[in-house]
Amino acid sequence: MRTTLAILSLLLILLAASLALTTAAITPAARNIVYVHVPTAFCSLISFCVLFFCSIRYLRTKQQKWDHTAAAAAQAGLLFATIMNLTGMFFARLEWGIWWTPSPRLISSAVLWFLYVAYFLLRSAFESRRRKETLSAVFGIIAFIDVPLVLISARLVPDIHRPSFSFDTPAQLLALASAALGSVLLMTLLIWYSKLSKERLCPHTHPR
Amino acid sequence: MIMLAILIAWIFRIAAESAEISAPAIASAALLAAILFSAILVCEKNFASEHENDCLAALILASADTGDIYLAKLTVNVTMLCIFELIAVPAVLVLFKINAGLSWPRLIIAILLINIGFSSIATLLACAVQGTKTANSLLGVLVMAVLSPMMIPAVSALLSLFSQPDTAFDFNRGLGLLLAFDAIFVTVCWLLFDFVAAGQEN
Repeated sequence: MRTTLAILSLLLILLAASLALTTAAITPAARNIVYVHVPTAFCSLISFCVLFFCSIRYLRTKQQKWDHTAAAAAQAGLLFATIMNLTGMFFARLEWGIWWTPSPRLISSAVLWFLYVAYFLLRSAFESRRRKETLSAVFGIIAFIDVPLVLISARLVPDIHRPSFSFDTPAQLLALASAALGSVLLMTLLIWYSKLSKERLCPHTHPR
Repeated sequence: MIMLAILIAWIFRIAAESAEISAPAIASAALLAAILFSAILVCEKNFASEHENDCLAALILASADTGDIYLAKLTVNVTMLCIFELIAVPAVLVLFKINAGLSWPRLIIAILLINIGFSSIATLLACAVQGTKTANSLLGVLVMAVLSPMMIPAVSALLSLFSQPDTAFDFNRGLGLLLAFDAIFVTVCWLLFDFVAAGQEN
């Protein structure tokens, strides 16, 4: 199953890359960064949803597998959020001549990254395993609730994030869709492997 | 705390002198920074004494609902912040020469809503990090990360009050969002406090 997922993910990402380099290429060439930026943004948000769901499940059941999955989702989410912010910064520099500006989507992306980092800071602060798991789950819930609030409050700030192009041709849409699907499969795989490694390191579960 | 607030306002005032940013913009940022750091200090100190004497464990054993303990702590923290602001707010207004035509009732409502929002998250997280080696620095990072979206309507509301002429539209929009933040944060933290308090026993 994991091998199939890995092969599928690789094939989809390769398809997206080959399309982006040929028929789906956007001019100027720097704009092709959106084929990485948009799917990673999508994955970082999905990871946050997984983190939220697993945190609630952990608080309800106290089963360690949920904490392992939540931590694995946060790891994958942090990776994708970092790539999203870095590619976004390069894109902003090339398009608008600035690295960063307070705009709704840029603020929400930055806050998303801060929350992921804060989650890991909290996890590393506790020596007691049960306490770490419980309080990480609590923070995971608060952090998830924070994300839509960022999107709402950031509307008070003027938005610079208006793409001056759209995915018009079928090839561009196909490239974006395969990049997004490939990234989601890659994220699933990362969460799966990370969870398995955590279970190997800490095999004793403690259901209530 | 009062000294910290005055120092923050003073540093921002010096920055305003050398920058081209308007005094109301820096005044609202200085006031928010002062309230935020004070909220962290108040909540941290409030739970530190409980932890040292193991009072929280005794409180949890009481027949009262755990959520009530959270609401009581929140009330104390908001009250402490209000007392501190009796000095901090006039200090900021004097330093930045903001006095003419200021609507005091609206300023009080905005600051009260900011206090409740900041304290709700800081109270829950202060209880969560008690007993860790890096409790002080960790609390600051966590609170600032979670509260960062609330800063936008808070700045918007304060800035519209401090600007001449003040803009009622921005203030009302900011106030509405602050109210929504307060309602969500207090409800979620009240529901989750049971788990945080239970986590202290492990």
